[in-house]
Amino acid sequence: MTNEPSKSQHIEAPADDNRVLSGLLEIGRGLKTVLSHVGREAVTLEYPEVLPDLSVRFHGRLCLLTKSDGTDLCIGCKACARVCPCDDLIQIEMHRDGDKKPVIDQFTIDMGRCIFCGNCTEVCPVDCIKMLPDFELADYSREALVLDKYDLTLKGEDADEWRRTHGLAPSVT
Amino acid sequence: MSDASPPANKADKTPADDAPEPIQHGPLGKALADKGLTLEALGDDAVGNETLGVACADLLGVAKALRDDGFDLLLSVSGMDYKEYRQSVTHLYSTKTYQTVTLKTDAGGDDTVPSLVPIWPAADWHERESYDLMGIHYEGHPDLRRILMPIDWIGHPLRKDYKEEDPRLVWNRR
Amino acid sequence: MTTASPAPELSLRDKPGFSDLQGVTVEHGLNTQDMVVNIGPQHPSTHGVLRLVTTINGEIVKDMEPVIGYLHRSKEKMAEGRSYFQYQPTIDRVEYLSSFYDHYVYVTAIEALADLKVPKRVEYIRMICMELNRITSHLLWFGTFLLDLGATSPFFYAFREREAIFKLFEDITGARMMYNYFRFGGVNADAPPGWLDDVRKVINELPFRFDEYEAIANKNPIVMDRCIGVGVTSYQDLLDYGVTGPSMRACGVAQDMRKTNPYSCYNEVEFDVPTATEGDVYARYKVRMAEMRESIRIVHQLLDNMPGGDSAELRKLEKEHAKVAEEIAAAKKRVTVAKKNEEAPNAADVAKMAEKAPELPFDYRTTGQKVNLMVFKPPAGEAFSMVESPRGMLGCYLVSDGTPKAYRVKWRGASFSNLTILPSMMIGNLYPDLMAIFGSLDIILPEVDR
Repeated sequence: MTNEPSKSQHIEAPADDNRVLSGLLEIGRGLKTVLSHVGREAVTLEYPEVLPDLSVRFHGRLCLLTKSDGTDLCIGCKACARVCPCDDLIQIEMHRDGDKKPVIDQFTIDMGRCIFCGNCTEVCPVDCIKMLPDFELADYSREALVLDKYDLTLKGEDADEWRRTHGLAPSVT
Repeated sequence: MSDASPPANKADKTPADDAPEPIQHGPLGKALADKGLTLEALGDDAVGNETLGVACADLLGVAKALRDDGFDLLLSVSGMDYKEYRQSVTHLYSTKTYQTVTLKTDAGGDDTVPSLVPIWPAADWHERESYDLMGIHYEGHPDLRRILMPIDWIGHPLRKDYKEEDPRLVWNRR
Repeated sequence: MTTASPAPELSLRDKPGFSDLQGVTVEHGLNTQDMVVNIGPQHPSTHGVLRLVTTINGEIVKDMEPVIGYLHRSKEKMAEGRSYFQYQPTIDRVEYLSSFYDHYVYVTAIEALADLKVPKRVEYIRMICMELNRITSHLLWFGTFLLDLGATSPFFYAFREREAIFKLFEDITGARMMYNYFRFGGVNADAPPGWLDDVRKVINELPFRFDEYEAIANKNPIVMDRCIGVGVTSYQDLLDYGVTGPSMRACGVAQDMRKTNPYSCYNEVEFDVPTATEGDVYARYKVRMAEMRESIRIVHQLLDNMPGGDSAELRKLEKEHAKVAEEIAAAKKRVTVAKKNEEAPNAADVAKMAEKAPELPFDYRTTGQKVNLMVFKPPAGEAFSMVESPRGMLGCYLVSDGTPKAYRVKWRGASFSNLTILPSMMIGNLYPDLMAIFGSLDIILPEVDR
C-alpha cells in the first residue's frame, strides 16, 4: 500500500471525438455512482433523539470538579484566568480562612464568550477546571450563560466518575 | 543555527555589553556585496534565513540584483514598529534555490520606503496592508490606500502607540 | 442627421435616456454598455465575505476589484496583548479549514527561537494531523467547487468523508475544527489508544471514495466544459502575483515546501508532488485530487513507522517504568530509614539501580521539554517559518523581545497572495466563468483578512 505510485496523477485529456456519446456515458457513470448510495446506511443522526457519540476529550461546557467528599478542589490560583484568550471570561474571587486555606467566594465563567479552546483545563495545577461532553448550551438570554460556582461544580461522585473516565486517579482527598 | 540578532535588540544594547562581534555576511550577502551593493549583514534568523539590512536608497538596486539571482517570489511585506522608527521587512523566496531571504529597510523620519511593486508586482497588496496597519508609505506604489481597515479609519492599528478613540465609533461613545 | 436609412428600428443609442450614457460600445453587432455588478460581500460562492466590484460589458468582464477586510479581526494586534500560549487558540480562527498548519508554523517558529527539541513521535503525530487536515481542506474545496458549478451531490459526499476525519480529530484533540493541539516542543496529549488503527480504517476507505468522486466529476461534460481551458495562467503570472500552492503546481512546477524545504519529518516519507501542465481550472482540480491520494500515502507510511507504536503499548511501558521507579524510591527510603528487623541496602547499589532506571526514549515522548506555558518566554530574536498548507505557502514571522508576549506576529497567508491574481485572470473572460475560476483558486477569506 505504501509505495504504490499515486494513480490519479494522469487523468487523460477528454476525447474530443463523439462528445455526445461520451458525455452521455459519463453522466450515466456519475448517476450510477449517485444511485449506488441509495442502499447505503445513512450517515446523519436524527439529532434531538439520537445524540452523537462524543470523544472523551471533547471540548464542551466547563465544569469544576470537587474532591471526593464534595468540598472545593479549586485553590484559587487564577492560572485559568491568566491563560484564557478571551479577556475577563473567568472571574474568581477568593480569600483565605484562618488556616490559610483558600476559600472560593465566586467563580463565574461566561460560557457565551467561551471559545472552548481548553487552555484553562491544561494549566490547572489541581485538575479542577475541566470540560464536559456537553454542547447543548443554547439559552434565551446571554445572562443565563454566565455560569456561577454552583452551576459549574460537579459534585463528589460525578467528579470521581469524570476522573475515572479520563484516566486520572478517581478519588481525591 | 546561529544566534539571531534582531534589531529589536539594537536599541536595547548598552555600551556596557561586551562589544558584539561584527556579523559576517552569509553567502548571499557576500555575493551581493561583491557586486558593489551596500548592505548590512544581520546574521540568520532562528530558522536559518539570511537577513540583510538595506538602506532606503539601496533597496531597489539590491532587490533587482536579488530578483536576477532567482528570488522570484515575494512572500510578504510586513511593517515593524520599533517605537523610534518603522521598518519594512520583506521576505523573498527563490523557486530555484529554495532559499528564503529577509530584507530589512528602516523607514526614515517620514516613514517612507521605496515600493517594490516595479520589481515584484506581488508586493502590491502586501504594501497596501503594511501602509494600512503600520503607516509606512511606499514611494512609487501605484495605488496606496487602505486595504483591511475601512477607508475612513483613523490611525494605523499595528503601531505600538495606537489608541483607538475614534469618536464616530459606537463603542467609544459609551 | 438626415440619414437615408430605411430601417425604422431605433438603435439603443437613440432611445431616450440612453443617448447620454458613456461607455456604450458595439460588440457582436450589439450596442452594449459597461455595467457595474457588485458581487458579495454576502454571496454564497465567495466562500466568506468578499466583495468583487465587477465591471461587465455584456458577458465580458472589463474590470474587477476585490474589496477585502470584512473579516479583519486584528489577529496580528491580538498577539501583542496576549502571552504566547494565550494567543494560540486564536490562531485556529485565522484559517479554520486547515488550522493545524497555522499552529504548526506558529509552534515551529517558537521552537526555533527557544531551541526546543521535538521528539519524533510528536512530529509524526503532527504530520498525520496535518496530512489529514489537507484531505479535509481539499474535500471541502471539492464539494463547494462542484457546488459552484452546479453539482449538489458531491458536496454531501465530500462532507461525509470530512466528517469521518473530523471524528478522528475530535478523538485526538477534543475539537472538530478549532484544535489548539500543538504545543511548544510537543503536543497537548498523546494520541488516545487505538487512534492509529482508527486512522488506518478511515484512510483505507478513502481511496474508494475518491474513485467515486472522480467517476462523478472527472469526465462529466459540464465539468469539462466549464473547467478545461478556463482561467489559464502562465507560471510567470503566478510568480508575479505571488501565487503558490496547487495553482502553481497546476502550471507544471513541482514547487512544494514538503519536497523543496523538507520540514518536520517529510524527508523520511516517500511521496510525489502531483503536477499538471495546463494551468487551467481543470488542472487545479486534477492536482488537488491527486494531492489527497498522496496525503493518504504519506499517512500510511507514518502510521507504519510511528515511533512507540500505539499509545496503549506506550502507556504499558510507562507503567512498568513507574513500577521500577517506585522500587528505587522505596530502596532509597530504606537506605535512610531502615526498619528495625531489616538490613539497610547498600547505598552504592541503590545509586547504581537508580542510574539504570529505565525511562521513555526521547523519540517516544509527547513533549520534548516540559515548558511552563504560563510564563514561557523565548529569547529575543526572530523567526520566519513556513509550511506548505493546502492553499500554498503559509508563513509566520515572529519577533520576540524576550518578554512573555510576542513583539510582532505576522501571518503570510497563502490566500492573501492567491487572491491578488483574480482580477487579471478575470479581465477579458466570461462573467459566468468567475465562479469556476474563483473556486479553483481555493481562497478562504479569514486567512485573507486575518
